[in-house]
Amino acid sequence: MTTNNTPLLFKRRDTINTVMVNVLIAMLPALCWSVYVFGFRSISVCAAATLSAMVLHTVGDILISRKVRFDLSCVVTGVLVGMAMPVSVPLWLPAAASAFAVIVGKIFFGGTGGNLFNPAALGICFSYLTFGGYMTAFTKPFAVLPAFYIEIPGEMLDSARTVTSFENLRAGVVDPTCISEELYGLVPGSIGTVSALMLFIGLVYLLLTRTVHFNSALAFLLVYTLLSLTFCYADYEPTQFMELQLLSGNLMFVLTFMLNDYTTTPTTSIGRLIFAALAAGAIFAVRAFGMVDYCEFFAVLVLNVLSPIIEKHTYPTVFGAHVRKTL
Amino acid sequence: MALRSTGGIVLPKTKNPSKDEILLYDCPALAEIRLPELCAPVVEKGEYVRRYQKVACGEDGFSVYASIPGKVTVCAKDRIIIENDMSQKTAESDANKPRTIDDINYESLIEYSRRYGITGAYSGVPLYRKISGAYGKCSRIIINCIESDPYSGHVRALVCAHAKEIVLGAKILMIGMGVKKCVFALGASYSAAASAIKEHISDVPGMVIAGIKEKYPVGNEYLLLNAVYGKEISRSRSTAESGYPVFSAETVCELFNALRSGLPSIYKVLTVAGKGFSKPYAVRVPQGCAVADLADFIGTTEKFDVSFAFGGPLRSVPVDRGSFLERNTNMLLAYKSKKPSDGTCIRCARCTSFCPMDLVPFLFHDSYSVGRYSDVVGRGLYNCIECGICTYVCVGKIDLLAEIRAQKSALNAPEELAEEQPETISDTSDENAVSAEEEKPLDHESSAEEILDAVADGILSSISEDEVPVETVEEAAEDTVEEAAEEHVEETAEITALEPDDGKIEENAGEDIPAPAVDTAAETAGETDASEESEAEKKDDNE
Repeated sequence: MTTNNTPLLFKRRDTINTVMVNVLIAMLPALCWSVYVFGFRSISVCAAATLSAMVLHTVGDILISRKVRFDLSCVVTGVLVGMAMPVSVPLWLPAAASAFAVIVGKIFFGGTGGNLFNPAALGICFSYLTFGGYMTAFTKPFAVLPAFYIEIPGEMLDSARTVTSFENLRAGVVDPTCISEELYGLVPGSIGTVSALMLFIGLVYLLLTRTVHFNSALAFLLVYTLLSLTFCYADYEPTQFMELQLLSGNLMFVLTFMLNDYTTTPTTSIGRLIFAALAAGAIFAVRAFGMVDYCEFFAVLVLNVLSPIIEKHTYPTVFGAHVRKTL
Repeated sequence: MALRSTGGIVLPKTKNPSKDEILLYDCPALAEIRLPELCAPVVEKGEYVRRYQKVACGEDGFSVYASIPGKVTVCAKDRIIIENDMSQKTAESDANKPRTIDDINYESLIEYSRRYGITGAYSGVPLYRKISGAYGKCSRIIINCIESDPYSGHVRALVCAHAKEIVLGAKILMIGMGVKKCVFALGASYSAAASAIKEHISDVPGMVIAGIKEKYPVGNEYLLLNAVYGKEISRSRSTAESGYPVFSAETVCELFNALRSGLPSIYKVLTVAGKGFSKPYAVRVPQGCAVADLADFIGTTEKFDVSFAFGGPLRSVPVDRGSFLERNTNMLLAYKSKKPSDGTCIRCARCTSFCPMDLVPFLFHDSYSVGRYSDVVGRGLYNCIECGICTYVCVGKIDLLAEIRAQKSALNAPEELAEEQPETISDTSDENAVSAEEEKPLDHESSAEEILDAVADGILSSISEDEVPVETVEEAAEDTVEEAAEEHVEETAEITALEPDDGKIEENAGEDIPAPAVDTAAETAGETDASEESEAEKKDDNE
């Protein structure tokens, strides 16, 4: 028996790497914006995470599969880990987080395509649980930090430190004046997640290139909008609460890059809709009742566990609704 | 808007020989005549046979004929190899051929299609089996003129050149099977073929053209019927048994030619394409023609070592240079062989969203990699029509089709083949009941003046509505269910009736696709846009 009995004599359109390049292109707007807001240190953080991910992924893959095969999925994981961190973190933290993401999240599950959890979300949750102090040290926008310091000196960090508006939201305080700032990303927050607009541009790019599915993104936004309008717990207009909910925190980041991940979300179209609706509910609930920072990533991890189950129950009925048992 | 089937993909446009003449290649040095089951040779090794001479006969009366004159060099249970002596000696035509159209009824149609060795151009199965399987169950026949494989163009070339024969062959089938409706399924952009057919069907009642949205693999019977009738025929039985017999244009053409001339069917029309040839050609060759001879006739490139494969570029099966064409080979590809890629599944689910049979091909990959093949039988492994879309769209470069084929053949190796339980299908049962009522063969006494040979000799225009027997039957057998079912086709066919203006339709083909609601369809629409854009660059991009 040979696997080469059907030569494909027609040029393929996409490969894994073209998909990953599309995802990387979708990250560019948010990355460029982060350079504008936080300076070049944001690039060093992402670079540290990416380098660590690439090296460990390649080495780990060789160890488990005994052959060299490199794909860009580890670059995507690394950049995502970097983008989800505050700019003030010491440079070894993104490297450690993406190392954890790649080794535990991917290699242990058998390499690219085998993982149960979103590796980037896993890395972020790991670093938040272990180094919560670094992970919550958000700085003011335009407080440019030195790009190549491994660790930011204490007094420099203290002068730049501030609280995010999202923490106010958690307490039920809505400041309608900051909605436009949330949209453009002129607020304290993680490197790649501050600007909802730039992330949305990336999402539109992914939708246009058919890399991600329109239905699930729309379902997520719809359900989340309805939830935040219905269960508004702030002391202000529900519409403004909804806007702030959608624009603040890591919501757009998670929607664009994690809820549309191929491997860790259901593969059927109905399953994707169910997953998106559940994700909206879960993220809203964790934001309302759970912790403040990085709660979206924890919600993603929980939903990743459900993904195979949703998928299993939503496989399509075969054409003609008759499964042949013999040839 | 053209009729659409579910699933499938719009492939980038490719060069095809649809507007070219069909080349005739008549003198291969070797030809292998494959014998179907229950067929035994009636010649011996070393015997000299002429072209059109009977070489094998089956228990059921199905006859097989020599496609080239020469000496029988191999005479086995399942094949006969003939070495051409280039003498052009032919056997005489059958003296008992049908004289008039009166000679056609169900029994004689079966008898003639057996005697002339007519086989389905896609299935390779004797035609009479399909006719007898569908007789009494169907109220229409479908003539499949669609070629969804890239590069393929021989069917269009055949339809353009032999529209008259195809229409008359379809008429013979209609009369023989006692049906009064015939649907010609053409691609929405086959304007030349459509106008050729239209010219001839205008006089024959009950014949319509259906324009089908060209997606890969809509040429498949089940998907074709899905596009035309909007039904999902269960895979528990064949389309013919479900009341929708689909005949390919080539089969119908062969049937008519055989009945007219009294000479059996020994030719096969196919497309030769691929990087190894300078351009795609449509060729008519004797059945069982040697691949090497045909390749030398067309002329393969010197630039690389050419490998050969049968079937469309997405679902090809490699063959040796020394092998022979089969009865159902519709395409010969010459390509540069390359190392198989080692793929990784990232669960992007493109295979699932494009699969025309609504299967989940990556599960087949999972089962293949762990070696538990029987696990996926319940997921529809045997429902796979082997179109190869999954391999084409796979971003992980997994050869899914090869894995599916390997699993199928591995599972079929042991003998424990359980009998399949035929299911009753709800959507066709009412129609079966309808056709059972009018099971008595149609009465053709009134059309004594209709002479088959005369028709063939060009008095086509004499077929007017009042002379054709099927028309009277149509008026007599009024059935509401029947009418309703047929109305649908007529309507859709009229809507999609093709304009003779070539360029206009092709230009607009990709633009008028609406944004579909379902996910799969949305994907496909996107494919169209993408493929339209990159059409120019990808023209020659077969690997």
